[in-house]
Amino acid sequence: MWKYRYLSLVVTFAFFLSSCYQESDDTPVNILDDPSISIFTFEGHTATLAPDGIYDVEVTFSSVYNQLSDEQKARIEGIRVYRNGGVQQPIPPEATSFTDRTVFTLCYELAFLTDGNEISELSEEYCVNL
Amino acid sequence: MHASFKLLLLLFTLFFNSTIYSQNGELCLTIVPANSFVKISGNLVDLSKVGMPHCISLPVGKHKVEVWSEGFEIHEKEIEVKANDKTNLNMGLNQLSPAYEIYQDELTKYHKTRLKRNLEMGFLSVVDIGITIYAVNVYRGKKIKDSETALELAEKGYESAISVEELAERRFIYQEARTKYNDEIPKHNRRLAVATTSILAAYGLTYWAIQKQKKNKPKKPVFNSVNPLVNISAPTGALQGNTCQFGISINF
Repeated sequence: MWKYRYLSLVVTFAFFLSSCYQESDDTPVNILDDPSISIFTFEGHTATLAPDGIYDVEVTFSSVYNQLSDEQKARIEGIRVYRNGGVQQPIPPEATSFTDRTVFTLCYELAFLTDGNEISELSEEYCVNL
Repeated sequence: MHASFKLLLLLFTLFFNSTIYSQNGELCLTIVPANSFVKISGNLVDLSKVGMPHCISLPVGKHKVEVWSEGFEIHEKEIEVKANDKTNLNMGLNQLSPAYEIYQDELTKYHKTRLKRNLEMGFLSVVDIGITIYAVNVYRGKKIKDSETALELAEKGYESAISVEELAERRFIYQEARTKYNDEIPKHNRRLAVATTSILAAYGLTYWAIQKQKKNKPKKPVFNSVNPLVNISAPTGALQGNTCQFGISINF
């Protein structure tokens, strides 16, 4: 009879032991893959008419750069500014504004540029109406 | 002077008669097994003191030879020793005593039991070793650790992704790794349960078997043989090989 008691004890012990490993709920976070977060948010612009008749435009924006992981920061070379679909020289990744000179309406899009010449998702288009 | 002469004459006559009429013969024994006890005409013969072949001098006439060795029945034979003649006697013991047969049966049973016990313990030891190796591998959890490592790498890869293509690819890799890891967890838990149950059961069974064997330890049978030749009569006048230096014996 004691054998059955012993066996039942063993099975109970094994049953409780089996709950040792549980699924971890750690979900990796990548802010660039979160559709509820905008990577770039245009905050506004200033357009000043210069004596030469060309507007000096300064566009201000905010980015999630400071919220990125160190690995991501290390890989980002800068922010690529798309001007009416054309590519401009990249600006520093921590920049929060850029300037431009124009006489007509311009639309801008922004994206992070990596050292491998890859780009993140484009921001919403922001147009400067003059 | 007359009485002394008579006495001398009587002694001379006695000596002369014994020399002429008490003649001896030789008996050469070949006994199997060699360490048997031999009794000749009621006297125990120590064959170890007689060189090979076991030849001893015996008075002429009929003699009863009894041979006994441990485990055998007494074997008897009557021989006749002739004067100045050599009699060869070959005696082999082949009839086992009933007590010895019982002893042999018990000894066989004892050896069989011991073999069975050793095989049982050997089998249990092999099972224990096998289960221990299996359990150690399960507890080390190579598969679950590999899955964990793959998941961690996939997580890191996903967290460091920047471009749209990269994000799509690494998200897929992470989801694959997560699925594999999640599938591996219940398998690993089952393996843990099986290994733990098995190891406890195996060691418990071994312990139980050891306790059982300790309780039922077989006793080696002992054969207590009593030498019937010694018991029959004390070998007070045990014959020795060539006891008489002059080749004669006088039996009173």
